Amino acid sequence: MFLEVSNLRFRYGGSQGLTIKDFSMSAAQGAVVAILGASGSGKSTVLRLIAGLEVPESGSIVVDGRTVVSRDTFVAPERRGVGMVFQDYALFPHMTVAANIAFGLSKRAPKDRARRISEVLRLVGLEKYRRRYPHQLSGGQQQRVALARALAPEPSVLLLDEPFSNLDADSRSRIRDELHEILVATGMTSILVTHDQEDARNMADQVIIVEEGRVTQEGDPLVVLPAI
Amino acid sequence: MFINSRVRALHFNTWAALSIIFVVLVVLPNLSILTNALKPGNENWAHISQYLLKDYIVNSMILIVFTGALSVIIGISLAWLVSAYDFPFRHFFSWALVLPLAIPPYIAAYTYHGLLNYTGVIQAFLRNHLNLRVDQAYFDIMNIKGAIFIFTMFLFPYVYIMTRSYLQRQSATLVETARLLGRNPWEVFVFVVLPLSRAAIVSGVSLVILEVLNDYGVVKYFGIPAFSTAIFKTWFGMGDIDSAVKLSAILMSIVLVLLLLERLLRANRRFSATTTRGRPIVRQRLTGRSAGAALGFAAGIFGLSFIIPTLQLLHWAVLSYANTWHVDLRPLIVNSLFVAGMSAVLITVVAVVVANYSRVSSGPTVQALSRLITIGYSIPGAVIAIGVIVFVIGLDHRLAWFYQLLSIGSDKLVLSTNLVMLLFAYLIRFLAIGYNSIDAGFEKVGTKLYEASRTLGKTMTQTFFQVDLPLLRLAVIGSFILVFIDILKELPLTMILRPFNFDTLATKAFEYANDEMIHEAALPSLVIILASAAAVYVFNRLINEEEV
Repeated sequence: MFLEVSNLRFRYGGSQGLTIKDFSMSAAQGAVVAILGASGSGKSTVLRLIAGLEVPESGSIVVDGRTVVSRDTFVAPERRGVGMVFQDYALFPHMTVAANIAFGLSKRAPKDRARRISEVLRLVGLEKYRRRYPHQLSGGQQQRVALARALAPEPSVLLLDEPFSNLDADSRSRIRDELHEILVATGMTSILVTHDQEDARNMADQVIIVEEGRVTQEGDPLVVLPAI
Repeated sequence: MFINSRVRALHFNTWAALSIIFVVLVVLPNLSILTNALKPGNENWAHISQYLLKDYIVNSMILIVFTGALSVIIGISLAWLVSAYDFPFRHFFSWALVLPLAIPPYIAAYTYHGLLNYTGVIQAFLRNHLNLRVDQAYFDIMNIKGAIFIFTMFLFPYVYIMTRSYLQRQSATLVETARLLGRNPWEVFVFVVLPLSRAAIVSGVSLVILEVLNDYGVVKYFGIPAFSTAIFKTWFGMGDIDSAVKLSAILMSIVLVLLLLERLLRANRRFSATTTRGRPIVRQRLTGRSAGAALGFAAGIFGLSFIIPTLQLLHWAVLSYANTWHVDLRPLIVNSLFVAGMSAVLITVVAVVVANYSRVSSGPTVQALSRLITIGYSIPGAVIAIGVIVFVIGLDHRLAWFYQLLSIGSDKLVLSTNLVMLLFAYLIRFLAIGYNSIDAGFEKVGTKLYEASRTLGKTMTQTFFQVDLPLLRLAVIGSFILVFIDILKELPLTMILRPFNFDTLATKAFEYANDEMIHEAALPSLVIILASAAAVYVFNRLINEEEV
């Protein structure tokens, strides 16, 4: 499999119980996987572990044949080639849209960088907003900038942490469809964390249900989450 | 062990190494006080402990207890007054009552003495215009009661600020509920406000007490035997560092006990967290006599603790302007700006490094370390000074081979006769000020942007310069200003550790006053007060922004 997570165990510093207990999952290349769970179930922690923002007690993560975490390996987040869209987008407030996107492209030649910025802005439909600052954008636009920024360095896996939680109900379904289209268009292997079954049903090829840090169910969303 | 090696891969780097070095540097001199105190005492010590120690302890306790109690009474009543009632000039007093903090107690001490003594403006007026001769005993401020008055008047704003910001943020619904349940304002104050604001009061009053223990200028000027003056006397007068260390160790133990006590008293402050969003209390409008009384109380305190001393200093400054301006104010200002500026930069850099590291790696050990480096602010200046002297002289002896290599001579004391020692001591004492400001800044920035940057391929250092630092700008400036001003008015450390013939505004003002050249002391004092007033304003803003 393209992404292989095996037997992760994790606890937050100083806390007694494990937040993540023997968590395993895998994802095929280009698949969209939804991790579904209530708040506090540990679903976001899984993303942080895959991104390299936390260090697991044990277990391993392999991305595209490269071991990024194991018994004696730890690849720092900046060298993992994993993209992440944060729940509140985490756009750098002191940088324009273009500068935010350029942030992850500093290793590229200037020409190449400019081309890539235009490319991802076109992908998310925000060509006209490149000189704006994050606070001058709507919530949905901010989210698309965050997506463009995460996609720009061409990560091997894209992680999305509750991407719709900050949007109002009206725009939610529209933005969900847009996001789905973009993910399909790029063929990006994506892991989406959400507490909303609708998100999983509409976007995912595969759904994983997490309760108290453990996988309780896994499979095709149409099977695992029958329409009500 | 394998987890640790991987955790290191995520967090261990130059930031961690530097943080650990800084923490060790800050803690070692204080530890050296405690370890050196265990050596057997010499003859001096026998004399001190038999005849003098009791006085030091009793006097310090009297100063602490009375200053603490009076500050609480004045601080809370003013805080409650401006939070729950509306009266003429309420808004003005709400922030102006913070200003007394701009006047260092030692400056207030000689100003009040000059104001009240036989040749002072009050007695002169009574004598010349009303032909009244007063009993000098009523006008003598140079005793322990006078010291309590000075400390109370110029330190109560700590209690005031803490209590006020708590009351304005947290208590509205509870106060309103109590009123609806039929309690009168007095009962609401006693049964609801006081217990609720206990944590705020305790943190305010502990700042007051720590300042009292830190003070050197007031007790020295008033001739009250206390720890800080005793430490000076044994070191400078008797040249007896061992006894000075012992005195320091006792004073430090008192401080540690007080800190422990503070912790205990604040233990169950949890209930303040239940109300999430702060909303100010709807103020009751006072009219007629009660409005007059409220105004009179606030104005009276403000007059005594800011207007009167400032006017007196202005008057003296006008009288002595011609003598002091050209002759020596300029080198004093240059020296003061230089040490304060250098130290503020140094401290802010250290604070940023440690705060950044402790924010990113949230393990319990790291959190403990970051608490350790802020303890210096609780330790009185005289104690830190002795600790630094012992530490740096020891370092000099150990570096003798190196000095020989540089052909300076192996018996020379290089670091300990140099400004380095003073800067080092400032670092220990004022790191907490910078650290708290930077830490609050990081808190506001949060960790999400840091994490986003790491997933976009930047290292911790690249992230710091490209993301965190630009967003942290205000906190950095705030830290610089607060530290700068605190050092500008600092007295005990500067007096003990400054190189020979190195004078600052604070030391010169104090020396003038101590040499009965009180008019000449006015101008440097006013410069300090002016600068401090600016800092007090910043401090007040930071407190108000917190948790809002």
